[in-house]
Amino acid sequence: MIYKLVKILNSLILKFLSITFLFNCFSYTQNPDKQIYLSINPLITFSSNDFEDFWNSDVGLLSEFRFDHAIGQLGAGLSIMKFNSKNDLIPGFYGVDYYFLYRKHFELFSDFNLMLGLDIGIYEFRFEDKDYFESTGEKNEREFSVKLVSGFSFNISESWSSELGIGYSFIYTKKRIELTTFRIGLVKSFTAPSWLQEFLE
Amino acid sequence: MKNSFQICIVIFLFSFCSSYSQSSGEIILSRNDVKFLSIRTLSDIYAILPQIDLYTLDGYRHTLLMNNILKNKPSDVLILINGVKTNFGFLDKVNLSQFPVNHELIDSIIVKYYPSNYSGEYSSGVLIDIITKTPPEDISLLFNYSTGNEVGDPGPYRYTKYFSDNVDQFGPTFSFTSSYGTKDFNLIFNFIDQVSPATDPAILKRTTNFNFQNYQVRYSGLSVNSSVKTDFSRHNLFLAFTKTGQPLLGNIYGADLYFDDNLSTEIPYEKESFYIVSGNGIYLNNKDKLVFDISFKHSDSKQSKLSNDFSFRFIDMFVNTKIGFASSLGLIKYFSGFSYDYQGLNNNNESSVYRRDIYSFFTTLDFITSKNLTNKIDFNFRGEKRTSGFSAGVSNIFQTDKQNLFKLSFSISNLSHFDNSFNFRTNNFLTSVQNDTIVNYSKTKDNLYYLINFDYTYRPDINTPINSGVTYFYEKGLNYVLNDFVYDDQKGIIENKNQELFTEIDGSRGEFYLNVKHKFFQDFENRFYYRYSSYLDGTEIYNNIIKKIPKHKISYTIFYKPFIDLYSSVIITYLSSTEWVEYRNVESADNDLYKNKLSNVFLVDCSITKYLWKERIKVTAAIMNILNPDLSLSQKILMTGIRRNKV
Repeated sequence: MIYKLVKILNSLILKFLSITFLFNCFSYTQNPDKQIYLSINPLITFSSNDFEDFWNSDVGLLSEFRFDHAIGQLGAGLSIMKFNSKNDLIPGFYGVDYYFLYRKHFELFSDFNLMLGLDIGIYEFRFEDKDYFESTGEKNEREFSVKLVSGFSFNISESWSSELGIGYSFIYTKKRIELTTFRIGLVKSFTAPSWLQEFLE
Repeated sequence: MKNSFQICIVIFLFSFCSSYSQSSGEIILSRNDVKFLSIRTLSDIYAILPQIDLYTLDGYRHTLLMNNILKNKPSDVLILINGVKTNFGFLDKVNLSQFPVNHELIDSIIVKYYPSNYSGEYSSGVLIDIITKTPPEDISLLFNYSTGNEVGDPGPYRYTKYFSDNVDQFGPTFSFTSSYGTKDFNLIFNFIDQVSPATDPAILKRTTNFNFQNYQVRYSGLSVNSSVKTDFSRHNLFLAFTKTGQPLLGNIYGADLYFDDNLSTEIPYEKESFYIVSGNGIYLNNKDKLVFDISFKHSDSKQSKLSNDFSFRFIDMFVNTKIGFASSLGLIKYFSGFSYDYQGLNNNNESSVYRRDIYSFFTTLDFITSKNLTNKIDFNFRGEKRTSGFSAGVSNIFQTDKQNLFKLSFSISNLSHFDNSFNFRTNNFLTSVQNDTIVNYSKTKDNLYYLINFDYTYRPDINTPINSGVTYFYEKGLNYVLNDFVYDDQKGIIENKNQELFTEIDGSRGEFYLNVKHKFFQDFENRFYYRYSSYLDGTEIYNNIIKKIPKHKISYTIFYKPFIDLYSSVIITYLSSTEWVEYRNVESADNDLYKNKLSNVFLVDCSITKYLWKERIKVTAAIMNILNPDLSLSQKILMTGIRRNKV
């Protein structure tokens, strides 16, 4: 049930993002002082269908680097999550997700924002049991992934904020993997030094 | 001294999208267009050239189907650099992916996809002239890295009951370019290293020993491009060395693949080629110009050192010289000249060389008949020991006002592309194996090719050119050897059971095209292209052969630049179903390698590019072939044109 709700929610987010992108973003102006955001989030993951029969997850960790851009926030992120095998014949693995991200914040009321976003990247499966493999090439698998993200952020102070979010990942393996992640974390913001501003433009 | 560093990192790079200027039979891709696009290898430009009919099995090697489709050989590409022929390719196949020039150094690409006389060269297939750009003054460096992955790997399910094979990676491709420029002189050095993984199950099933080649094609290319300007002359020099098999960097071997159309399978081979291409223009006075071009190619190709199924070694040499004179007589501008081409092929170190001496005379006249009417006449005569032929064309452009432009073109020819196939080069081109008997036949001498094109461009405003036209093709007096492939399910191999000879083939076909470009505003542009192609009249075999070309083709492209440092594009392509007559007796139920009929293809490609550090760094992410239910995002991801005739 929860997955159906998440799917419906993400479908609505995707449509909203598309509309925002197409009709709300035709011309932009750049903020002269570019803000940089560093975030760190513990996260938990839920999966569905057959994936759940083989693996379950521990608590993972996610970190993102974002910067202000005229169209929203752009950046990159990395998350790591351990998946334990439920079956001795199947290896467990670390799921490492590296991605480029896009975020758009909408102020709902003072210091409280709605956040919508999209991540595109590579999901890497790093298998644990080294004795299990004949060659090093078998230890890792990688696949393209897309993640829809939504959540809320709250400004704690001028440079600190907290965020609570949900992400829904599509990993395009032959047998599709869909993961739902919940995250809660802190974000530190600061004004980019001039050299970094120049680099990002 | 000002040093500038340009670092170009291209990640997840699958596709390339387009913008171009088009008139009948010609497309010009400009440097500015390319900014919206992402390119892994140069052949990615095909993704945005829906006017060209081609097929590809792996997205790396492409074979064109146009115009010479009836002449039993693929009508591959004639590649020029700065207007001078390069002879780039291996036998009758040209892999544009391996052309040793970094795409970042290309100023524009001129593509001729109807039979044409261009710069003294005749092409009955597709001609691509790569115009290099002038590098910035002083020293500059450019690094480029791209890689990508086909989706559909097994992931963690690899170790479960849902096991599946791994799928292909794209690349990585690495290139390094260094240039030095002054006002009148520039020098560019290019190095390209490509890995093209060949893990496609269909290719591996056909080529059982390809695992020894490490499941990949390795290619290295080195080139030097230089130009000099003086008050009275222009000189370009292009030197290149290319190598497949053992790369220049690294020690992992990877043979190249040649798809043999008569065997319907890939042959692993390795090759080293060396090119010298020089174009020279000398201005005698304000209106007279003397052109002297020379091109040399030496190539040594042999079977892969890790294969033993086909034993061959070709040492191939091409020398082309061309001298032309451009001037004007009143309102008539003309360019005329002679060329001489030498081709020598030594097979398996035999003492004899299969030699061809080809000479040609060409002329082009441009003149203005009235205020609104301009005309062009071109003529090319080509002769060699075996045969001779000619091509002639007339085109008239009538511009009624700033909004309306009409063009009527007519061309007639009995020339084809230079046939560089092995059989032709070794004088075996007039044989077929029919019911286990070698049949000799004579080449018909009255084969003719006619083309009539009517083209209309309406430009209601500067942002909306609408181009439309009809083209009529008529071919007569052709021979065709029809292969008959049968798949042996027990052995898992394909066999060419018979070659049936057809002579005196006549046929005509027509096409209608519509090309609309519209800019909603400065940074938001879309392009629409539709083409309907149909058999009109002729013998049954003619009708069956041209079914390889999709009847309907639609391409819709969006370019959007939301901000000064962001470029994005979406390309949507539709191709209707096609039939491949050579595989008519292959039942697709028997195998998963070959199919007689290919269903409709619907491709969606997206890319987004972010520039960093004042355009010194470019990062592109691209996804190809979204929403394709047939491929389920799990099989091959290919480009426009005909997708894999042997699945």
